[in-house]
Amino acid sequence: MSELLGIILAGVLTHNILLTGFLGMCSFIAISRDLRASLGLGLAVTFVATFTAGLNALIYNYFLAPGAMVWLLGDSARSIDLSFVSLIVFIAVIAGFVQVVEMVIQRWFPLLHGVLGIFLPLITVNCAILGVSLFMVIKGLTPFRATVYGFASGAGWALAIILMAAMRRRLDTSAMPRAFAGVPVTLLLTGLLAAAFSAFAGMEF
Amino acid sequence: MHLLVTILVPVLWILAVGAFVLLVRKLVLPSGPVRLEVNDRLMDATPGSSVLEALGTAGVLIPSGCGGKGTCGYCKVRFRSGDVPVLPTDSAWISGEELAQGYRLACQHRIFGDMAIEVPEKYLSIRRVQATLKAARMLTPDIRELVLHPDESLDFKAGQYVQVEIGDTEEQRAYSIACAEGSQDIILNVRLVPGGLGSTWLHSLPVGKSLFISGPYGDYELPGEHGTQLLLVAGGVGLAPISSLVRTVAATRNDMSVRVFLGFRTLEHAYYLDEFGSLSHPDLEMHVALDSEQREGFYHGFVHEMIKNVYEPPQKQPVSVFLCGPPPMIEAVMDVLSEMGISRSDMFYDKF
Ligand SMILES: Cc1cc2nc3c(=O)[nH]c(=O)nc-3n(C[C@H](O)[C@H](O)[C@H](O)COP(=O)(O)OP(=O)(O)OC[C@H]3O[C@@H](n4cnc5c(N)ncnc54)[C@H](O)[C@@H]3O)c2cc1C
Ligand code: FES
Repeated sequence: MSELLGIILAGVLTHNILLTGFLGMCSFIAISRDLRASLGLGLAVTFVATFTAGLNALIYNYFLAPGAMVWLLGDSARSIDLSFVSLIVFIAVIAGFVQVVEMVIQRWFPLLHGVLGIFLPLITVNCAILGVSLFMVIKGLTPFRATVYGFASGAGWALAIILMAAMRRRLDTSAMPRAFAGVPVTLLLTGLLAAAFSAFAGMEF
Repeated sequence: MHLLVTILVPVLWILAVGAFVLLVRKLVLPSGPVRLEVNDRLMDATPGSSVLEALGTAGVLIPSGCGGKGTCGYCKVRFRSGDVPVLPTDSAWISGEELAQGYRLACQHRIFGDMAIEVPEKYLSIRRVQATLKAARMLTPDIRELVLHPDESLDFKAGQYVQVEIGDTEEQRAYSIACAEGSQDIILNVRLVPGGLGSTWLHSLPVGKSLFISGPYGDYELPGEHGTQLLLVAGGVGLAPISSLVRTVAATRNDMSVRVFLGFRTLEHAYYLDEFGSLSHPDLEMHVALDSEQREGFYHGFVHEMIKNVYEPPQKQPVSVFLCGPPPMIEAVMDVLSEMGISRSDMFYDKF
């Protein structure tokens, strides 16, 4: 239990994928202009990260990891190591998952589609999602833990973009040198936010 | 054996993902075309496309300012099938009463089965035509007049607008028609918006080139009642539809009295004044305000201040108001006019 809590705190705070890994920056910069859209995108990233991390962990642990296919092919598979293709397989799984989710919610949950719909295509190419799957391999997580880790990282990403959107709302009404307005000041703020979050790094879970 | 597994397993996984996506697609979308009933006409639609796209494919053009992003609210239609969910984008543009009657944004709802909708009858006459830029000139430092010659004439009413397709992009922009009803050519006044996609393109379009426009769009109709007073108010390039109305009324409606109030920044930014001055109409008055310059014969200040000082609403005549210009100007003028006792339901406006 405490270990799961550790994974969650690490994902949200100490190892926030956006503020310590700087992954998913392009949609972060583009969408944090608007608070409502940031909420929507944050939700969508959390949702997709949770499930794709779990799915990819299943595939990795039962097919791709060194010797993972022993359950399928017997002892002779002990020396098979497919981890070098995990990147490609993960990308395919993420793209496929996003497509399926988009079709399903478009058909049966139009209200949810109104909130998430326009963001889903953005997510296929959000590197934070792929990052979560790759990190979970490095960390050697089981499928269940990977799901928790995916959720935590997604929530951390959502937290970061919502914080930034709230700050940018204030920026909109403040006097700003022209050269700084828009993206430059957002990048500066992201740096400050990341520095602030690095204060959490002292906590090891 | 190892080599085979090494190749097969990843390939199979990727194929499996693809197959799964296809399978879900089959489950989600009906296979054949579905039936879309528009008013009394039946047309085929591709399942999964939005109602707006389906109408476009079937040749029924309805207004859409934002190209289907749900940010303009123009594509409102009534769904006859009852259970269409209300999306946040719907309620941003459509009143509770209309939502209850089944009005929704056509671009926000997709077709998965047979569906029946109603569009205003006049939308059925909207067409997409190719037009050639016949002539162009600068009216002011930032407004270009474009004379378009459409391959087939558009049967428009004064005060209506066309949608112009912007070059190779998917974008469209609305521009009011500035010439009198019955004209074969379509005249537009386009103000250059710095950094603006559509206005920049239209300002740099050379004479002789062709482009696609669709129309006519817009709900305003000149009041049929004899002796109505027409009150026209424009700020800046908002003059475009007002110009069409003034010219049309001058040519066809001697029974109306016409009061025109125009606002510009400086005299350099004003246009069409001489042409209006030479129109012959028994009861046409024109007042011009300049807010950043003092000039002999012009009111110095904003157009709503001028109206407050100069205009007297008629006692018995009915009044029909058409306002066009930037949103703050429209708000200010509507406030002044309602203080004078003119009902907001008699005021029609286009916010640029
Ligand atoms: C019914 C209707 C009739 C219209 N008739 C005319 C007309 O006769 N003549 C005319 O010049 N324009 C008219 N417009 C406005 C026109 O459709 C475009 O919005 C305008 O030309 C700007 O388009 P763009 O592609 O150049 O700018 P965009 O690329 O859309 O925008 C560039 C920048 O300008 C801002 N912007 C966009 N539109 C406006 C605006 N209207 N006012 C202030 N800032 C804006 C955007 O926020 C953006 O920052 C009409 C609009 C409507 C809805
Ligand atoms: S087309 Fe703009 S809201 Fe539908």
